[in-house]
Amino acid sequence: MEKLKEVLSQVLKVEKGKITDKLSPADAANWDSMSAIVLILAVESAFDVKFTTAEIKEIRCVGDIRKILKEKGIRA
Amino acid sequence: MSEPVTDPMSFVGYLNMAEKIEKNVRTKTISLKKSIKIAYLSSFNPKGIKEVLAVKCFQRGVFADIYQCGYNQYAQELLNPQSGLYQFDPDVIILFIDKRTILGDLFYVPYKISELERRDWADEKFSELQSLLAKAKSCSRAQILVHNFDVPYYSPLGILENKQDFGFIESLRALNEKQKKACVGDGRLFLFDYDSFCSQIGKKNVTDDRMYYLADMRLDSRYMPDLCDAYLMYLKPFLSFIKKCIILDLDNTLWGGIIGEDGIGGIKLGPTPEGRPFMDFQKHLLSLFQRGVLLAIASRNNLEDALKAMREHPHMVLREEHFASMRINWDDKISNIKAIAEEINIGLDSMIFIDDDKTNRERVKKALPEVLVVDLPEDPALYARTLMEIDDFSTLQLTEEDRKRGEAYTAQRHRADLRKGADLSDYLESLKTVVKIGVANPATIGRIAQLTQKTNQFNMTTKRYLEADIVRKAESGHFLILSLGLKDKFEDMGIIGVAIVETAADAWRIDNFLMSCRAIGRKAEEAFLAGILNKALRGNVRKVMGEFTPTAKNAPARDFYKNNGFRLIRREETLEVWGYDVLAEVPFPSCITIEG
Repeated sequence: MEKLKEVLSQVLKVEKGKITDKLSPADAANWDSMSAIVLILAVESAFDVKFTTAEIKEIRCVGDIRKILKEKGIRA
Repeated sequence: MSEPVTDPMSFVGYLNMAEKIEKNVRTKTISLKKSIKIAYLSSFNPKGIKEVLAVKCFQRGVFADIYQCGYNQYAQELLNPQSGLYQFDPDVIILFIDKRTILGDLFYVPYKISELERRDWADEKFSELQSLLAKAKSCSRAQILVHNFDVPYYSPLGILENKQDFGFIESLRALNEKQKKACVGDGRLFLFDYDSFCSQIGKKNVTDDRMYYLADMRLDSRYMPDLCDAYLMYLKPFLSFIKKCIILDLDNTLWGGIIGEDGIGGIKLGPTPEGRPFMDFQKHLLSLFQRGVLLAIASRNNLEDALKAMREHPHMVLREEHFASMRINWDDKISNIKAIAEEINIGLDSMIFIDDDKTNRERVKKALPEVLVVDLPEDPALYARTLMEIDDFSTLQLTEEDRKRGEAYTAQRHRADLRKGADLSDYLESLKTVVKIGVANPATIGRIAQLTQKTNQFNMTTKRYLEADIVRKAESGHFLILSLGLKDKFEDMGIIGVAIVETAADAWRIDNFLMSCRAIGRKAEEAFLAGILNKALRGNVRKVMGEFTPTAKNAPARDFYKNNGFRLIRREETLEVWGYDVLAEVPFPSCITIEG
């Protein structure tokens, strides 16, 4: 989770301590539609994976990102 | 920047850094020497490009103030004279219309129209673009960088695409060609060859299709730094960041091996696998010499050994006449580089240093940070490519003077030889200098603008003007724009001086007065000033004002007005205003002949 938190904190400008699986656009002021895209690009480059369009559209909270990474064999 | 980012060159790294730069500049926590206002107009979501460009400019000491149009609002912004774009008053407009935008449905179904319709389509799109650009030119003072279109690599016709009369692919190529032709001879319009850029990164990589569908991003964020580097190639000359001289080492740089040990027969140079990389490297240097880049040598060697190779080696491409300065001795490289800068009279920040020896390079980087030190790869096979990737030589126009510059410096070396045997006034007489003062005309405006952009030392106010600025001033009727041509018994230097004079009825104000450094010190500048004062006299103007603004580089011009009979009238911060009462004809220096 540490690396993912680092990426999320850089993109969303949220302190790492406040990042939980439940964090969603509703609680993070900077999580808008554009930063959601930047977030995906950052996660992809940090973990060297690619998300599909459908996976990207499914993301509602941090936990969803972790779930998709897990499906790709990455424990984050 | 305070908070570290894990990978500063990652996309997020750029975005965060751009934000900090913006904040720190706005709050005046940092201040940069130069700034540039860029309007970025795109037909899609340009997220990231602005930020990466801002960071790239920052890394070169420039604050880029970037305006972006509303989403896909480029046409509205360009066509409305009251738009935010024009209120922003940009120095540069970058217009990036993507192929999918201009093609619309034709991107997917190109053959739903006939050959004739495709021809009409290309004509129509071209004229739409031209009217947008014409509007941009009339409503702004900006230089305009316009993208062409990346020609698709896919056609539904497959192998038959190239059997079509004016097929889909050809129609886009034709549009690109028309656009390119429209930029030729236009001082403000520059074509950004996006098709070639996409070829370099690979057309299949250009778009991340997911991000296209999700966010309408057309360029994969991984390539945004490359795109911005390519923009910088244009922005550097707009900012007068131009390298003028390459200082070269000899052993293992211009040839393989060590001349002092291997001798003329032993060095690697010529049509062999080991010799050809050096020969080709020299040919590339020659091509830069021909576009006006100066070459010089700083090498630790016995002069006779080096000269023998340069004069007698059958495969040496560069000979003595190609070098503006040669420092071949056992002195320290740093002091030799400084001596070269002094000899050819250009600043260290206009220099590039190429040497195979890493220790030398590191020493130069440390001692002379203004010099651009090229990290030459170890393998000479990569030398020529490394040279081609240096994009700091671009000037906004290529003039006859550029093409002749190399010869000019050889003539300078000969003049220096002549000077050794005579006193100064005999020497100046013997040069048989002839000057010609001309009023700016379409043939000379390009060179006049270029001189205002490039001249640093003998430049009274260092006001930089673009071609369009000069045209506007000349057409206003309130300015007299003069050029000074110079020739002597060695060469015709072409235009080497510029004066921009604001001509009110009662008094004239010399807005700027400058001369190329290679022409100063032979009284031509005095002749030029006398010419201006005499023009004022003939126009019944009794007062001429001259201005001087000191910079880090223009000390040679500091006392020019004082030494020519002007009185200091006032100081406004750093600006000095000098005045001259025109009472009688001012004599020209006796060593100068005035032509025309």
